[in-house]
Amino acid sequence: MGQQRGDRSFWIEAASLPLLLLVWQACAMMVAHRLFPAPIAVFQEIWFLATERYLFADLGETLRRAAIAFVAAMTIGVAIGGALGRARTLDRLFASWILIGLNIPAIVVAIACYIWLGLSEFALILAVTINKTPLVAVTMREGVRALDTGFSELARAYRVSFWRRLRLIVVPQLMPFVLTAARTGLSLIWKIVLVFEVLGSDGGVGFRIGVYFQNFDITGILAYTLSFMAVVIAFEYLVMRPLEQRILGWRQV
Amino acid sequence: MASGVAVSIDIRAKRFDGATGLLFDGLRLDVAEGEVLALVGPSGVGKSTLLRMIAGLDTTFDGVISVFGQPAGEAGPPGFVFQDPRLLPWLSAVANIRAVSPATTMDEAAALLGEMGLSGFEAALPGRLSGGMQRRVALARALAVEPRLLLLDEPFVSIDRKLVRELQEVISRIAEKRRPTMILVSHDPEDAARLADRVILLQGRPARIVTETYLETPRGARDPARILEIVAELDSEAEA
Repeated sequence: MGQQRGDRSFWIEAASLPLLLLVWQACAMMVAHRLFPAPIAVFQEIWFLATERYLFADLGETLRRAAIAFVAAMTIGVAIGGALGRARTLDRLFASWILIGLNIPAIVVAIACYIWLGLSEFALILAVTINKTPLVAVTMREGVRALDTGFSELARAYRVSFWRRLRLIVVPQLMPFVLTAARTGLSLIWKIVLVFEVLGSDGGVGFRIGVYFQNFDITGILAYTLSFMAVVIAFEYLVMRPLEQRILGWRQV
Repeated sequence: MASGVAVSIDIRAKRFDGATGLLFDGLRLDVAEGEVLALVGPSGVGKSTLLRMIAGLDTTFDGVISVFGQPAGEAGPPGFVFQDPRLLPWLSAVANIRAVSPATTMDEAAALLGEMGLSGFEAALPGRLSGGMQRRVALARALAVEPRLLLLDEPFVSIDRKLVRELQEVISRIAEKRRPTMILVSHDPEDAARLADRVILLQGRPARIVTETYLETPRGARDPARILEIVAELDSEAEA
């Protein structure tokens, strides 16, 4: 019974994407306009862009920027969040900074960075990093606050060394928060890096989408969007989920 | 029983954490090397706090506690079995032991688990173990540091009587075979009367030693009737 239900759920989930493509195809046939291309046309465009144009180069460029900003934001955010979680005074002192960081519109940060630093690669990555860091810091702050005092007491009772305590007791407790910060951070970075590339860059998925927008080329826009989404989904299934399984597998026990 | 003093307690004053009033106001107590001392008394009297002070986990008091001649906290690590097993859920049973005692090899950790009747569970995560098994892993972990002092904070709380008997046998074996100095905190006088060489009843606020009962008969040979008699004595003292 349970097995049957599981099989059915699998097939329902597997049918989801083809159903979306069918609906899209049907809508395209009904509208029948060059500004509403059918999925087949978009896939043909992807093939063309991949073989004859710069699709892979653009994807690589965007992913590189996203990766640098991600690593920078995670590193800085974890350090800040750790400090805020440990020291109440610091937390109170910087509470409004974090609040502003969380709520300032991403586009404002990007524009400010471009004005102050010029339309450079550094300005773009810095803008993405600034946008993402407060989110990581807040998540890590909660993680540090949630550290089990019982385990700390255990380590003190047995005189466990600082590094051993960090490796075996503290870091494993923080990992769920690190992964949450990584996951929410990535979803944010994927989105804003494209917007910032539209605003000011000379390559990448966002830049190319900006060019297609100027030409009203919706097929090109959708081709780039689908390709980028494919990369994001592949990253989720090939990197994030196995990593999560490996690190947090004990929670399913 | 060896005659040296293992733990010497001289607390002039200890305040309640986050409350007014004194938890201890002049408490003196010596525990002999190799002795099994049980501290009994109502909940909130300060038994667990005293154990934490002996382990060097609570230093906010006026007085001196020395463990084997050194200030508490500066002596080598005691074996400490907390009320809850406090196993790290992301580590296997063996890894939990080695987490607090890196010098313990895998084989030694597995042997300790075997001593606790847990052969075959070396790689098991705590979430896969029953409550009683988790407590035995915690006991194995405490023994891994080869402690001269073993502190047991309510090791039988929230487990069924059958399991209590099993754990008592394990602790008795440890007391006979390894002969560490043991301080056992319990709210149940019966557990104390079965395991200890000496039972101390703490009561009042500030807490004071109300009675001190020595049990001369070896643990395994204790007459159940005598145990019940001691329990009744302690209960009547507690009520008084």
